[in-house]
Amino acid sequence: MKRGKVKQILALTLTVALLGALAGGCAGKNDESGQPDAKEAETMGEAQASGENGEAVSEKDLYMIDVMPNSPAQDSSLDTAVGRELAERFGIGFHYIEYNGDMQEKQAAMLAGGDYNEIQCMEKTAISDQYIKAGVLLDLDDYKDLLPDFYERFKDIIPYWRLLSRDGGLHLWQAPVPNDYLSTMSHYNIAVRTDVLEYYGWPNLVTASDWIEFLKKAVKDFPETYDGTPTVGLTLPGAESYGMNLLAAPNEEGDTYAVDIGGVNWVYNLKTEQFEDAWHTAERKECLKFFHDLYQEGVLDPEMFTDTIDMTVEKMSNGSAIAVWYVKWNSKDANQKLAAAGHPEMSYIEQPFQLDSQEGQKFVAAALYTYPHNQWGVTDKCKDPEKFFQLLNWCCTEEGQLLLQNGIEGVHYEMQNGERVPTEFYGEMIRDVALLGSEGLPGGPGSELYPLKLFPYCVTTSEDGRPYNLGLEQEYADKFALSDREKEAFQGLGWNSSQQWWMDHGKLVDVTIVSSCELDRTSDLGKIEEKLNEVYQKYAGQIVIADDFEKAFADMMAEYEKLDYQSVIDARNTLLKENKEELAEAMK
Amino acid sequence: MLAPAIICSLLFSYIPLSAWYVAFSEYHLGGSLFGGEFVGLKYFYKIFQDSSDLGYLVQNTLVINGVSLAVVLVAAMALAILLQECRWKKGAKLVQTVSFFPYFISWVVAYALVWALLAVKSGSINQFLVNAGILKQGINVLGEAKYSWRLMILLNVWKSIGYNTVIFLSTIAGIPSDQYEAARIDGAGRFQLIRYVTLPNLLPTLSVLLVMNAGWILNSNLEQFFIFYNATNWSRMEVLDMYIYKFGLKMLDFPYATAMSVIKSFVSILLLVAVNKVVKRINKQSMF
Repeated sequence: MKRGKVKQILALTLTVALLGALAGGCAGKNDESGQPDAKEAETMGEAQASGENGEAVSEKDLYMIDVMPNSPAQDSSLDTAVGRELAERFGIGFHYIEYNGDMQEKQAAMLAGGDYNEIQCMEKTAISDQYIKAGVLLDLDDYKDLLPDFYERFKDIIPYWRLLSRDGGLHLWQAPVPNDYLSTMSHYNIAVRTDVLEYYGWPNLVTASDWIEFLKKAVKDFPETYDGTPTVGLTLPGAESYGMNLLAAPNEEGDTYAVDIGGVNWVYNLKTEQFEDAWHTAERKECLKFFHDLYQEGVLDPEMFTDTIDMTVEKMSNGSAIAVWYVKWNSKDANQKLAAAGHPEMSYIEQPFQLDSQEGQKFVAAALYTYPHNQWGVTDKCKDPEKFFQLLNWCCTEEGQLLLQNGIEGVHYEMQNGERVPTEFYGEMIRDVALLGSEGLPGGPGSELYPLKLFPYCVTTSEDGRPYNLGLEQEYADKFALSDREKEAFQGLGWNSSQQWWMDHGKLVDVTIVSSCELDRTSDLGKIEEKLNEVYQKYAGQIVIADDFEKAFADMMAEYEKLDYQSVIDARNTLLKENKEELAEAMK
Repeated sequence: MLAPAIICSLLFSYIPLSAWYVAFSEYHLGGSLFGGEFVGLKYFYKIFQDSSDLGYLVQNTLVINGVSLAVVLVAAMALAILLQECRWKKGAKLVQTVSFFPYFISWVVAYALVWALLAVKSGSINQFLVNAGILKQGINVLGEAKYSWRLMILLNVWKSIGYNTVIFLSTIAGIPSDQYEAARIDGAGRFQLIRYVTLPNLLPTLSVLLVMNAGWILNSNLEQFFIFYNATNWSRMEVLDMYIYKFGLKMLDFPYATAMSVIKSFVSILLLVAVNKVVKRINKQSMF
């Protein structure tokens, strides 16, 4: 009897707990009215709970639009100062849907299932092609009257966007383009611990041989980090969907092939102005040889093939990675954690890399007119396209660009003698990734987590002759973005600024047309290209860990050459010719 | 009374099969499932042209899933008998609970555990072996292809043994006690009771489990393989379902992926029928 009662009480408790959890789950973060609860409002603070004019910004009065940008740290645009400002002016807010998987897969699945957003993010041309083909994106030309500033600001770029649309219409926009600032495109490929650099007398490391020798010594002299964790020489997140692509990156770091206009299987030769198969270039083989040599020397992290980005960041955060390949944008976060652990001397800084055969060459990058990694369109699900287009158009005005990139006057910058001067708070924000996100600004070079990146913003000069984003000015970039330790490291290297090597060796070239020459992924040739990519994805890791590099590379090439790779390259070159003609016609 | 079951089966199992039409058409993402141009068996031919892929995919799928199934069933049956025979009943209950627990662990958590134990540099087992001087370098169980099959089979056994043991235990509980009493009167010892009473009574359950699972042998747990698959172990880790996922969602070739899925379904039906026949011949009992 007693036991029965205990069971009854247990069952009742469990039921109540389950119902409570269910109710909590259904209610979500906010109550039915969409208002934050009292505790949440308290933590949001006055600045976040109300707009600039002190009026509360409530979701229920707004036209809220679901969007899915990469890695949103906020729940909605109302969690950002700039987002609240836009909401106040235009009555529009954006809910960020969190997704941490492969964005292209998700976007494809959204289209297949018909559950795409009102304003849809499309990563890469392969995905935007599908959305355009399916006819779900509105043609901006039909709303041209509502978008005069948009058409004016992007008049030089719209022809490229039309090429991407393939049907002559204008279905998408991209950001951040145009990008005229060399400093925003620095392609330092390695983040390295400054205490190790200091130990060896601040060497200027550039070539593959330099790095191999340096890392070989470093893993011996620094066998473990401050908490006893064994160190690794160089690591990267090889388990990410893009992981193996990182091994092919150095192909583009000389003066023959430009950064940002290459794929895994193809490169654009700036000298011949033609596409080439990447695997038949000497540089590509040299890239894999570099990683293979690192592995053989015991310097490359053997866990890198199973490491996701979180694991790589973890290795940076406790300094157990002496150097990190490519994913250098995590340095800021890692440095903050190292400083918090009492080891700011281990902070990472970004350094350049070139293959031995590229030594002394200029490091060429394409001036960005198109940027398929971040493109957006308005879908047929949009409930009020006119209202959204009014906002989109305003964002293209001078005032709009200033708000999006430089923030709110009096908060993020002040006018002194007619000149914009960043506030102390702005500097604090640039150093703090979380604060940067909550303000809704893009920050300095390499900012990846800009929550309002759905709007077209230009990395160009504003009417006052300075960049819209003051964080890009050399005077402010290092002053605000670098910690004392990082500044000390660059001084130790003998550099005037963190960008000095890049400013001395980098070169921008205008080859934008190349980015618009993507094969339709569902065509027969597009599918061959996918298969070629698949061959690389499968063999890259095997080549790196193989005892016999030449044999492993030859095995891959044998498999690769079974596919009709030359037809794919020929098709790209044909498309390039056609697009050049079409563009010339459009520009007339 | 049967109507709800029939309606549900139709709605959720048979009507969705109409989407197989995608395998016979030029389907484009976002378009109607039935709007693509009919292309007959084009994608089925393509699959067999890509025979180098098909070979290792079928091999990996059959080895990992087939061996896992066989080992899980035999091990679960053995564990059930051992637990039944165990005189320390509390201990038996404890073992049963502990062995059942991994069944509820997601593959993500399982991976985290395996990584924490077996990661080549930071895994605690490898660290221990290296620190103790037993190994010079950690063993790359997660990265090297030669360990992949064994790792997957071991993990499948670890996760499923408890669940299957419960099924066998319930069968043992249903064996009439007079069979044991009669055997004891005839002078049967403990091992003879197991051999002549328990095992024959377990065979029908084993047959049913074998036949039911045979139909699923080409189906892999996508989550499991998605997590454990990497650039250095793919040759032993990529299975049919991973390939279908990759062609469908990653490469956007939905007709090709659907054609592969259709072939897989037909082969699964053939396997089911074949295993059922074999079991019927051996055991004189079958599911249908």
